[in-house]
Amino acid sequence: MSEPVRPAATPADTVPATAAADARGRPDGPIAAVLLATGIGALVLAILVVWAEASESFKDSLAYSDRVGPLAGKTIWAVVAFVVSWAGLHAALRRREVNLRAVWMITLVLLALGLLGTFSPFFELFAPSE
Amino acid sequence: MVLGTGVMAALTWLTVIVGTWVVYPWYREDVPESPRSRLLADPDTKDWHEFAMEWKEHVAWIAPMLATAAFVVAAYYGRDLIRHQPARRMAMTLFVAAFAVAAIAGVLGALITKKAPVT
Repeated sequence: MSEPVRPAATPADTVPATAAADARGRPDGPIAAVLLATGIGALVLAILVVWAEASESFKDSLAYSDRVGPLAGKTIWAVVAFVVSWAGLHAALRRREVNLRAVWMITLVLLALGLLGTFSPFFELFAPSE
Repeated sequence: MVLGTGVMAALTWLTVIVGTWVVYPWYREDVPESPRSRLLADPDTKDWHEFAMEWKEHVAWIAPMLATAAFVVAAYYGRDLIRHQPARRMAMTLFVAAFAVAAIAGVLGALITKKAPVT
């Protein structure tokens, strides 16, 4: 399939990621914070899912609600990880310039691990054999 | 666009919260008539719980985090997003990923409901 004709790159298109915010005089640290927090939230969810699958006692300890079961604890802690890491990273990075491309790559890796860990054929591999 | 991504992020959070805390308890109720019990009782349908529901109930929670990140990128750069390709690509990737994850959860949910309706 042929690629659509693209207009010539403008100077703005060719700036490195970290310069995107520079143009406005604002650092891109806050964006790095939310990106990394998203990856951390997904990864924490995946770890809890796999750990709960491997350990019945841990799974039971996450059942904060009888009606929802262990899913309650898994999702509550994943959201806590997302919010707390976002707040912490935002506080640490809000005035800093960061390599957004590197942050983006780390985020994609964390998200991929998060998606893998929440995929049932994967996490069921950790279930104790019956 | 900022308003659109913000509304989408809020709706995604609302959907997973309602799905987990309102609908899911009906699904997993420990009675023979619950959808979960009915699916697991039949070897031909137990994969609908063990594969589809187990995947859906977990992966769905990644969607609101992705949608929130897409909203924050869009809100932070605002109109400048048009000029800044890397940031624009990030926002689009996050938003498409959020949509894809939500679609997986939504389609699996619809198929599970068709197999074993919540009554």
